Amino acid sequence: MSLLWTVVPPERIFDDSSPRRFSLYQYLGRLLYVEDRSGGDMVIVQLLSTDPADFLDPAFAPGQSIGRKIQKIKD
Amino acid sequence: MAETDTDTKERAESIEALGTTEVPEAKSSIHCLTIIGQIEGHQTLPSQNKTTKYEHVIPQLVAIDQNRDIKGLLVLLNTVGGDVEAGLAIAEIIRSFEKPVVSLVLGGGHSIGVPIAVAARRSFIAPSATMTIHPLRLSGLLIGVPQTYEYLDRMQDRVLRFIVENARITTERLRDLMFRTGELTRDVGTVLVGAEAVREGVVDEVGGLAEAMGALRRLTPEGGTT
Repeated sequence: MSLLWTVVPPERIFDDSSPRRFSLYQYLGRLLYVEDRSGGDMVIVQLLSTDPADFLDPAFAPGQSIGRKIQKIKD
Repeated sequence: MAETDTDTKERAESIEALGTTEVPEAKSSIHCLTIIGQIEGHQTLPSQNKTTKYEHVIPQLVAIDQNRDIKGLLVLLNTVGGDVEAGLAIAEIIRSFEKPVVSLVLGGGHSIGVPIAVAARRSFIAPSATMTIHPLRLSGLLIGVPQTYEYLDRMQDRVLRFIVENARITTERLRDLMFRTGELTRDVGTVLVGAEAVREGVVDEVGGLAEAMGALRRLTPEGGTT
């Protein structure tokens, strides 16, 4: 049982009818959420960093394709 | 973080792939923690929820407090709430931070976002941002016995106590806002918009990035440069 304090109703939180497929990856020393699109194309969804300067780096921009040069952390 | 040879090689390859010759290497002395969507703790939420995860945020906060090059932390909140224990854990780390922390509520800082906002040394809310204060509830299978409600009440007191200890509002007033009827369509509670959150003593000041960064610099011993 989880104790949630949120303005979002439970039926919306726990509705998993349209799951998104992305995983956590390490890339150039940063943690990224990467979506595995059809055809093996890996596209950045979100950069997890607290350094605002990282967000100026086009290499970590959301939507950027990063190909094969990545190391998967977990699903 | 020191980059390894592999990182440098990867970076060179990425520069080639992206067709750019200049990748910014600047590091900021003020770090910025973005709390977005649901705060996720004990349970992984379905993937269509945008979440801020306990296991990402806590180590980041520890690393920021330990890193000598980082002078302060700006916490940007746009959260709909989430897991009570994970939210309180993040709030407790922020409250006990050695370096200056300033929070800024943008968009929304609802439910469990409230203790996180008030935990900072100085808290700000954008004029258009809102904070919803409403009762806690349990999800999942419940046993309809008095103990269930007592448990919920105790958990609610935990959160209320944290807010009262770190803001200017009293427990009575907070409970009054929490159980108010006629404000929310689907729930009891209150929505505080910008200046109302300051007037009620939840947040310190109305402001934006300039005000929040200014407060952070004043709290930083050397004035903190970005």
